[in-house]
Amino acid sequence: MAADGDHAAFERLYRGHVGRIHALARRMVGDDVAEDLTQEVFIRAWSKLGSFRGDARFGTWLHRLAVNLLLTRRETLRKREAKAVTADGVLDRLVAPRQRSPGAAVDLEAALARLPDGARRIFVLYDVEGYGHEEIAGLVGISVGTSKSQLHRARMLMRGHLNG
Amino acid sequence: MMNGSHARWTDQLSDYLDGGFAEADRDALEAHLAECGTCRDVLHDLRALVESAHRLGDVPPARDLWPGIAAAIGAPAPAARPRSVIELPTAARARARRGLFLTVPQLAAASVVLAVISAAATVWVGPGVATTSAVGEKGGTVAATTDAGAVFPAVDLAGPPPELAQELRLLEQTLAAERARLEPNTVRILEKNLGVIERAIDESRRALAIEPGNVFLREHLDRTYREKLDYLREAAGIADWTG
Repeated sequence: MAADGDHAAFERLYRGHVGRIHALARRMVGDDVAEDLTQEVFIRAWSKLGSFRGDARFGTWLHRLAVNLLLTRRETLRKREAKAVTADGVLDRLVAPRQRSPGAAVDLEAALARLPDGARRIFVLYDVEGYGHEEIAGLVGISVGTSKSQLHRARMLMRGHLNG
Repeated sequence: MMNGSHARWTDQLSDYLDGGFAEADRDALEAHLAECGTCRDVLHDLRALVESAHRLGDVPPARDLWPGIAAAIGAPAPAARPRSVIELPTAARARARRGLFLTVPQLAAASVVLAVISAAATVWVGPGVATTSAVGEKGGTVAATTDAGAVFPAVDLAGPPPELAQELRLLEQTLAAERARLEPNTVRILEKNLGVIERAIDESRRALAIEPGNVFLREHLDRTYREKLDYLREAAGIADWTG
């Protein structure tokens, strides 16, 4: 129905999937631009609904569309990276002491936000979203070996952040 | 400090964890793991990290993005959203930044939880304390009658913990000032829940008058004040959102 231009049906799809797409955006590009990019994903999805053939689940199609859009936001990512450098001291304080447990979701999100962009994207796509290295390599435009080494780097950095 | 050989193994732990190792390499790495506590620790941490990452859940945005999307795709402008869905931007963002949404049924459910808190205090103290005697607001002393006819000793009502007192007072003032702008149904639910919290505080204080050294009761009272603070913050968030 949404594909036929039914706005109400599309709103239902939005409400059903916005949490997952926003989480993906937040983890891949940061909290500061996540809402704007989430909005952009759904606007893009609306314009491309005609290309959704229904042979995959809508959620899968939307997720792939979101990943592609987020990965192409190079300018946004670069801006965020510059910000992250200046905000480093603040982040250090935010995630400082308290009890540290690799299992604590809030700590995990904070540690994730501190990763460099490249490592963070690979970590999110592989460990959070469940993509394989071959898929990631194709999406990001890197080799499988680079994807693996970036993943290991991300995990070790996360471990360092979480263990303080 | 890791030597070169050691680092070589460490660098392969992710691949090993993900099952991407050839059998011969796996045997060699496992032999190294058997004798290297450092690598075992790293592997343990990485495994825990990966499992935690798998469990990360959805994160709704802190505000409803639909109006902006609707405008961009030419959907009819959304009607003013009913207050039956209440987004709590300020308190929720400050807390976990994971997007907290309360619906009216959830607010109602909160009252059930709070009622359980209240009931827990009552059960702990015993049926004789289940009284509705009012507690004075300005401290001083107060006596409360139980249903068995006994009289509580006079209580010095100290009020909330000092570190919470000022914020509690400010939030109460804010909410009182914003009350007129909230929908009657929202006000009714907020007041009902705050009433439950107040009763829990009231009962804990009276129970403490009997057993001033009871650690459970002291902690319960402190927790309940903090529940009240959290609830008032959320309520102020509702007022902020609806403004």
